[in-house]
Amino acid sequence: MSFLTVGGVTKRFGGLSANDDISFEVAQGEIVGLIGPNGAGKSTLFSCIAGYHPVTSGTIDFDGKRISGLPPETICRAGVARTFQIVHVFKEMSVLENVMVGAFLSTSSRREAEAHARAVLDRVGLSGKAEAFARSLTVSEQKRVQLARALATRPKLLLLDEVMAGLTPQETAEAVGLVRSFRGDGITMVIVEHVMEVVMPISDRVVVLDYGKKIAEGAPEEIVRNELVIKAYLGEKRGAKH
Amino acid sequence: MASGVAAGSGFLYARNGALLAAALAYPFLFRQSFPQDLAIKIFLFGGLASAWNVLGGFAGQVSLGNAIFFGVGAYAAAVVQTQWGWTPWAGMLLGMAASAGIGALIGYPCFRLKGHYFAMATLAIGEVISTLFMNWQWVGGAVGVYIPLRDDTWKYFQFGTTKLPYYYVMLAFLVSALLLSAALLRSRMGYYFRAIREDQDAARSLGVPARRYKLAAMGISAALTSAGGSLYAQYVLFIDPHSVFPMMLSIQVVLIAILGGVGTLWGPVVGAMVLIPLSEFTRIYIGGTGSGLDLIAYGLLIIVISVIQPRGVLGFFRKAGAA
Repeated sequence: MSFLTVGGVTKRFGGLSANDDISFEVAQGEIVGLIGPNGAGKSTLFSCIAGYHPVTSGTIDFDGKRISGLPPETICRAGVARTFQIVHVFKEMSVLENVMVGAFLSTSSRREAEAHARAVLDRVGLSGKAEAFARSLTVSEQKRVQLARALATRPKLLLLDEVMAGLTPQETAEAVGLVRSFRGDGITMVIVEHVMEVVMPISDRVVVLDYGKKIAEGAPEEIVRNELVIKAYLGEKRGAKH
Repeated sequence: MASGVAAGSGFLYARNGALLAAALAYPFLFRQSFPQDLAIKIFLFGGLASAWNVLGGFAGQVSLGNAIFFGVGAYAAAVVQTQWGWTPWAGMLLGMAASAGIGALIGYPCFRLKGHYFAMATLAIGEVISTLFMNWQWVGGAVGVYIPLRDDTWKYFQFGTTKLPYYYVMLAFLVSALLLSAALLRSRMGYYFRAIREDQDAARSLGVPARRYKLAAMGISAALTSAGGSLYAQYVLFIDPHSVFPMMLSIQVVLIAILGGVGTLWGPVVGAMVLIPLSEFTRIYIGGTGSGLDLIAYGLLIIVISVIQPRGVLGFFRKAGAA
């Protein structure tokens, strides 16, 4: 039973097709990696799913409801939360307040929102920074604030856009552990990363985009042997020599 | 964070209580007309700047048209008396409702615009509405409205022999604006306003219906500004489009809030306590020469403050960038 269905989604900006007839499905509880070289259309697809860009054609269904065409806030209320590739924290608010904005989705009580936000901060290891202004944090910490904020909305589906880019190997290992732990809460995830080493170990399935088209889909071990994928990443000539 | 959170709530209650006691006692210590008039203006502008701050400071939507609501409130209080013989208090409520409605009408299309364009749109609409009133004969056109004079009365809120009722009512106006702002800052709505100000796309991704909340901020700001306009009309008893719809008023409330500390609870009050006396004293001591020297001095002092402390006067009392 499909939880998220992306059905023939095309997104054109003027003459450029950022997404061209992309289809795939995500089952409940699954972790799906979305990979591809720079400019393959990964973030655009996320923005379409989350309601930031209206799709040019095609449909997106989530949990039995058509979500394509709905505004971002409605899609979030349906249970889809996202992080942004480029950090979008509330700079002049404290880390705790940032996460409380997410927590307020399920309660109007300030006390409950704060308690929930503190629990989430604890989970992502940011408790020590709760009172700091978001702008005073490093970029990788700000990415974790975004993750905490999204998590605080109690999502059913989490769209993670390069939350691990720019992390040290140590931090990456921690982040991978964290993402795996979300699955235990029953959260389905779609993860965009262009670092293969990060996506492969976490994902149940991987969808590969190149120039806006889906070029492959399958288990991680199949994907790393797929010729089209190797070509997309390493270039035509290099692929041909292999 | 809101001012002085670290100071503890006991200290805050004591400080706010002392401030209120001082404000209540002030007219008995300063019995002359001038210091009382000065305080009345500080309360009025502190309240108006707080009202602007709800939309411009908390929700980050810079309006340069708040004189619209001030004028609508002033006219509502005055016209219900001259046309229908109602009490100005009823006019005040009518004006608040009308202003909230006008605010929503302006906000609905204008909130599609971001940043400077929203400010420019509100500035332009302010001028249009001023011109409309100038040509609307039923409300007195360019001549304006004289509120019929009466003996001292609460029903028609007119006092010719004493300023005390005006003083306390304006104080109540300011206190209401502050209490409302404080309650907002602690509520979900206040968090949503600030999230929209900081990053609207991120706020929407967390389920915040940004447009609806901006309209709410506009409605609250407009209604509160309108109440100030009604009280002002009763204080001066004569209004015309030049006195209650001036672009200068729209700009002045923004200046007060920014100079005091935009987006903070006390900023608008501190700004009014600095700017209103500054404006009055420069006018008294170097005005009247016909050279506009008072306005030059006033402008110069504003520039000096904003250069020294761009975060507003409240910034002097806060550690820069501290957690």
